[in-house]
Amino acid sequence: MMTLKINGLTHQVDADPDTPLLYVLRDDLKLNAAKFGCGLGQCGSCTVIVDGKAVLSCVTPLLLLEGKQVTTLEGLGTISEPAPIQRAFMEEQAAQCGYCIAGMMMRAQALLQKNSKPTDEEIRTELQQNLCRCGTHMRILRAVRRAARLMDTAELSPGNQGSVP
Amino acid sequence: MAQVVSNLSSVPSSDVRAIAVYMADVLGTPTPDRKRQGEAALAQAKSGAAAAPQANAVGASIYAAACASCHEGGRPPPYGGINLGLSTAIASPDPRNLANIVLSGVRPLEGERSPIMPGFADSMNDTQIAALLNFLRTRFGNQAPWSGVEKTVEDARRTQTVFLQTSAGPRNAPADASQRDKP
Repeated sequence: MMTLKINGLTHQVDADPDTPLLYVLRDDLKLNAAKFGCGLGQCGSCTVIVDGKAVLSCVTPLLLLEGKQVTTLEGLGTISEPAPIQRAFMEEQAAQCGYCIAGMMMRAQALLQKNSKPTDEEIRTELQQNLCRCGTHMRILRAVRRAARLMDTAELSPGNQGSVP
Repeated sequence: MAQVVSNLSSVPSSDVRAIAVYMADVLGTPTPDRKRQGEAALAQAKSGAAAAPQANAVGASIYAAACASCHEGGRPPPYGGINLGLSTAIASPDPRNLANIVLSGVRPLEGERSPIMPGFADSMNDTQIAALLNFLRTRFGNQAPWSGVEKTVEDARRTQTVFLQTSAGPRNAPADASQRDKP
């Protein structure tokens, strides 16, 4: 039995300590936003946030998560009240097939939490680890810039999650 | 060094042998001690002998959970990791290179088939990485333990942060069109 803190809730999961976080998220907790892409920590589609940092959940075993807070895309916002990053990606229509998008949003969210006004260069450098096969990169970049502006405006604070440091 | 390895990967095996013979000649006859050490390292790397139990249970469990599936998975590179029994970073007198690799991973080279590894800077803390490095040294290093590993990891993490903040990654497709169809 392992104890995990995910999206503000404590879960007891029946899994070995060496199980990758991604498997528990998808198979046990049915949090299916994070995707299995390569399984090698190379594509970024499994990205989640752990203690404010973007982490590749396919190569992160549960034993590294003791006492840490995991946030998945489900923890940012809901369909009726999307978080700024989700709203921005929708408004820019940044998804094509969408497989990479949850990971893109999580890495962008982690970036914006520590740097609310990133330069284009900083966004590109940060998102380099996340691959998009469809090629919507320019829209994704626009969405991250839009999210930065949205987060900057006070009107959005109710829909925003409270974990921004 | 990756570029050198890549450039030399297409030379005929007779040339590889000639370079090896030349290098062995330049380095001179190894002492019996050193020779024994080398043979032991090679034998261990080939046999993949089971890990002797270590007092360092934290390092051992991190290795088993986060590293072994690639490094002992039996897949050829780049989808499988290198044989750690042959790793110069683990056998080196200083743990800094190994700390850098575990923190930042190995990024693929643009336009080339090259080794890859994810970085663990954001999923492991310094104590966990130090435990892992000490485990790897004992398990695969065939050398005396390192000292001050945690301090090395701390320093490496600081430098890594600065590097990531200042480095601009590759921005565009290669200007040379003949490079674009490479994997």
